Amino acid sequence: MRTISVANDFTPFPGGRYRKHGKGSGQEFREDILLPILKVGDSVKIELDGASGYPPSFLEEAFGGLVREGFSAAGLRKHIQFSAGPAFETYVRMIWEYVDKASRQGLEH
Amino acid sequence: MFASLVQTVAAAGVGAFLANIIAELIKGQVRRSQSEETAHDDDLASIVKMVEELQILATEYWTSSGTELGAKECILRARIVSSQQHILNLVAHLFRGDAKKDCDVLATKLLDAIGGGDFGDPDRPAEPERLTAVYQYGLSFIHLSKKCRRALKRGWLA
Repeated sequence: MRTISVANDFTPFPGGRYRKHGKGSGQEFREDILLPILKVGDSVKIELDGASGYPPSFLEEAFGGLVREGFSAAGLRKHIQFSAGPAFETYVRMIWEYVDKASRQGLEH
Repeated sequence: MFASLVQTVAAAGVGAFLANIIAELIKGQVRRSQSEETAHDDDLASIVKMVEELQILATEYWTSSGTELGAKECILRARIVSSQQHILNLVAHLFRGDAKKDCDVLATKLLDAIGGGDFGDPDRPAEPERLTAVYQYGLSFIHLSKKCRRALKRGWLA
């Protein structure tokens, strides 16, 4: 299992949704960090602590975007773990809500 | 007679000494408990203030398009994200267990209303329709925080 610290290995200042919105976007995190790990069937532990705060649009694009890329919610739960201190636990909840919502939307279409 | 007098004086001295110590210990405990309660009240007041500020920032953000806001867009975005993190820090500091969990659940709704969707997109349109959710969840979050604060166990002799 790989361990990724968002603050240390990506950026301490997570940004907007898409790359066109600047550095540290959710799309960049998904494409450059998550996909290379998940596509080879590896698992990843993501440490959320230490970042200045996560815009929900960043989280939706990074993790909800994985569902739109073809990963199932169940598969993501199997391959992704989070480490978050008390002040960052809310984001873990948000991430799984976004994953489930993207799954539901995928089923509707 | 003299020995008995000395004994009485010594006993009175020891009694006074012990009474003073006990009084000081109780005063110290009262001060500690009161200081803890004051800190909790201050944290709650900060949460309320930050949520209200977040609502104002969100109003400014979502009633204009990204283009209309121009350079101010990234400033507002930074203020919103840092305020949201500050609220989460305060909640994590103040609450534990079910109270913390309840706040987390509501926080996801509030933060999504404020910072979800096209948040951060400089080309986004104005979306004033988000504000109903921003205010509704904001008010609920304030109420929940106050309720959880009231349920916090009071310190001994506070």
